[in-house]
Amino acid sequence: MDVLSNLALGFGVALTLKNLTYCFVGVFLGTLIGVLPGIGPLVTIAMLLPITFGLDPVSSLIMLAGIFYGAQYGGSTTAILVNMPGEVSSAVTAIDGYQMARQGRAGPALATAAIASFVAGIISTLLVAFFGPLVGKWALEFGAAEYFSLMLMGLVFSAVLAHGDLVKSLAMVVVGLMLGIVGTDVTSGLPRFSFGVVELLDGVGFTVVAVGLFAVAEIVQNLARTEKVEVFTKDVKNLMPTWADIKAITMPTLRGTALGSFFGALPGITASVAAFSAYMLEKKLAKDPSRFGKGAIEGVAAPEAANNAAAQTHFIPTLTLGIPASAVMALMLGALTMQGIQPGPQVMTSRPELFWGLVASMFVGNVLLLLLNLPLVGLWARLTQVPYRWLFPAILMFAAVGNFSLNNSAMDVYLCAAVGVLGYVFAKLDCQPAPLILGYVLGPMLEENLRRALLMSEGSFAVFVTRPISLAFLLVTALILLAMIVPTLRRGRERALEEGDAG
Amino acid sequence: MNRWASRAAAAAAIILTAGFSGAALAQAGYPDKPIRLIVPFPPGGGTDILGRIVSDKLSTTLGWKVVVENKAGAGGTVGLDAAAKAKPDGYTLVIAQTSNLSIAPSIMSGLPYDPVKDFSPVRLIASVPLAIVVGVNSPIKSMGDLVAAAKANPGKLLFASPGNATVAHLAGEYFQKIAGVKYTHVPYKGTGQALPDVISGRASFFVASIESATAQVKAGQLRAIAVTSLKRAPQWPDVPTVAESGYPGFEAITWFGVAVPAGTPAPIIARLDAEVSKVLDAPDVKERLNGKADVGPAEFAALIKSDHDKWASVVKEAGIKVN
Amino acid sequence: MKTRLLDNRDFLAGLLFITIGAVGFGVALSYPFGNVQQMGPGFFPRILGAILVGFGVVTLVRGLRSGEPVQGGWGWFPLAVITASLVAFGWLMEHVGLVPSLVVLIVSSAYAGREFRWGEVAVLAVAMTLLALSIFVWGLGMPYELFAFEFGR
Repeated sequence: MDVLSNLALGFGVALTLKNLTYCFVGVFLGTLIGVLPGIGPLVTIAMLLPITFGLDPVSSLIMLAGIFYGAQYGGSTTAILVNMPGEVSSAVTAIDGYQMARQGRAGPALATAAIASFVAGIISTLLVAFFGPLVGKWALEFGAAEYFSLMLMGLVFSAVLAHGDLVKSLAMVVVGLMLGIVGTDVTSGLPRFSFGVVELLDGVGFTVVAVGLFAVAEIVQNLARTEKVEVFTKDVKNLMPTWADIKAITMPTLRGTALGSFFGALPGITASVAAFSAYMLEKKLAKDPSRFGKGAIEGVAAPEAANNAAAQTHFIPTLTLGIPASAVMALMLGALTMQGIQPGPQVMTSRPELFWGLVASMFVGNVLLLLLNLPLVGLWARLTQVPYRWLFPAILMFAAVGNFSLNNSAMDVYLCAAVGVLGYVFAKLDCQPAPLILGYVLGPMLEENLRRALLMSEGSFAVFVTRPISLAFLLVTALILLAMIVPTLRRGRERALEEGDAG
Repeated sequence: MNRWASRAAAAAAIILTAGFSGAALAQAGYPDKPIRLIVPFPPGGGTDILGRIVSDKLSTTLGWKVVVENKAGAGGTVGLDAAAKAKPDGYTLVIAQTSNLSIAPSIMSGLPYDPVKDFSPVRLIASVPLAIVVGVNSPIKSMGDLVAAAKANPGKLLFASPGNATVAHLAGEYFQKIAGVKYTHVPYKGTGQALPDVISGRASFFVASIESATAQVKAGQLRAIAVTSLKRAPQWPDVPTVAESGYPGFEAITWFGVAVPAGTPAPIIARLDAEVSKVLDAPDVKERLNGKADVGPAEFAALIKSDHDKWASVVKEAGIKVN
Repeated sequence: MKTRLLDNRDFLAGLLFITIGAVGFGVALSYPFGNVQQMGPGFFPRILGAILVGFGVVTLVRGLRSGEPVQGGWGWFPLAVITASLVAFGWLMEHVGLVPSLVVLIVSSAYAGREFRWGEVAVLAVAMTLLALSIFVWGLGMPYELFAFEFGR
């Protein structure tokens, strides 16, 4: 296996004028639709699919992939500027990114997102190139028990690291878990909490929840301020991150990349889970966790790195095993199939130009994205200067049309409005939305895999500890819990929280 | 006063003419506005791709404007319901499949549409057999082995399916009934997490569409032990059918077809049928659909009926209930 | 300082949690519970509902003790207007097409703001409608009718 000569072959393919053009078109479109909330890469790729029939397979794959990871870049822009996660995975970025924008630091926040995404994109593409086939085999080891233990670890992490009041944060996680239950139960097929509404049989969509909870609730909060407070600071401080900023984001970016690359390689785990995990890890490691949620630059860098890394490593199970890691990846496989190429392990040997051309194009695409996004930072940051009374109807327009376009159904708009009301009430009662989103994302996977693991083991809990990977996750979870109980650490946490409340 | 009267007269005249010649006009000028093709699933899935192939071809070869509208939700129920309630003027088509027209009535008590009364079938466009696959290291090499293993350990084999009440799930239940064996159903959400479990042997066997397992079979990670169509699948000529493995008549296929709301004028249905048939004859479409599956309105209606009866009895005996 | 119950932040939060938990638990009673080996669809929601009620009680009691009030007033007016705008948009989209729906959404939601100037809002409505059309309809080719007026659908 000579990775370097393969990469050379790949660059030979990716750097032809034609493929460069398709790569650029892909990342450009991706950025654009990422910025627009509601329209995700899934819809865009599906719409463009018929056009790709005329292209040769490599070009179409390069373009479609560009749309996908380009959207991860673009999604952060809307999240930071208007607190509306344009992409599922940028919901986390919105937490601290939006606060930075309000403090006049929209420029550094956007630049941080772009830089972190770039670094993560390059590193994880290297991982795909060098370890793709290996990681692919390893991902086969992940069964229901492993997924359950991993989800459990994530939830315990979230509880320990919750922002603000611990009990209320835990309660919000549970509310999220219950929201995630809405819809048809995977294991039994029974519809739950759907109240006879047909549209609820598939559950409440992520965009619906994220846009309602963040964007709609935020608009109402801003409009309800009786005192005349400007939402954004008038002066936009320097656009580019300072040296101190760069130093502050270096390690979070690398850690986010590592977590994102890991999660991305597992089928069924979305980039948003990776982003959440990275965010929580940074909060845990920070000297002063109370800064998080109030404009901590690490809180932008880590999740952005994680979701972009995950977007690249999603291609590992997809291309090396033919197992789609997500809906978008399933679509890519569909595109390949229609081109007459059976995706799977044999693609790497029978059509090396396809695999390596794509990998090389990801390097190219990430560079293009950085070149495309950094100059735009100034332009986007000016957007915060637009008077709010013009801005909020525009945000609402995107929220409404975006949600409607999900299923071409008004139900998603109604649900979004309802979630918005709930989100506003929660915000007034000082209950954080982030734990709710996390519970909502992890809950269904947690339940599904727990029940599947027990079904397959005939009710024996031993599977969770006899399988080494699962055992490792459980041990880490136990360690975290133990650390929680150790009183000195606990007191440290309380002190940090008090400082946070005072500040 | 005069003005109003003349306007009213003109309006009445228009309405009258429209009433008399409506049907004739509809055929002569059909289609004189964009046709919407409802795909009851989200963009990107198999149904969507089929829909886009059909709309693309109709648009490019005939110059019609056929717009795909994804109306997803509840396994297609939302989209089918929208189509059922649309005006039956030939400007609303829907891609329906086995689960929508033949299975849904048995498993959903609150089904908002009636598959027979609310739709006129136009043309069957594709029929996809299912594959029964096992991990390559599994001792099971044929349907005979599968039955023997299930008989040796009743209820111990784990039967993975891509979801509750899918054709694949019902096919597995159907086989249990026919072969007189017992295994445990493990539903997944699609194929993403199921494939690793089957490849590594954590699940005993997996029933899913041929497409979803082809890559792994080719790569030597999965072994296909049977297909569920009556005849062998063209893409897998070496894999026996369940029927020829000792269960004659066993058939479980997912079919897709174009339907219109009931009440659509017969000439328009005939025209659509003819045009869709031409689309299916195009060589590139034939290649993509892996052989032709098209039958016209009458046979399509018969298929809906016979599959409905078959799955209703399976659902009843297996005690599957979704809503 | 004693806070009225209706202004007591944590008391209200606790009440909300208890309500959601209790409703969830109650609805889940109709789903089979199963057992630990073969969990039914009612297992998870009932456990979660019970836990949420528990958290709710703790939050409520702590609210009674601390008496922390809700920060700032409630913005019922903007909340109602924004929610109504969204609902109206959804309904209109299915009945009169994209353009009128957008105009209604923009104009009515702008009404929730502190400053409402007809001229400005008109310009905004036109600009936003054009923006939405160019992105969603012309750019992405989404199959929306601009003007439908089909109430029968």
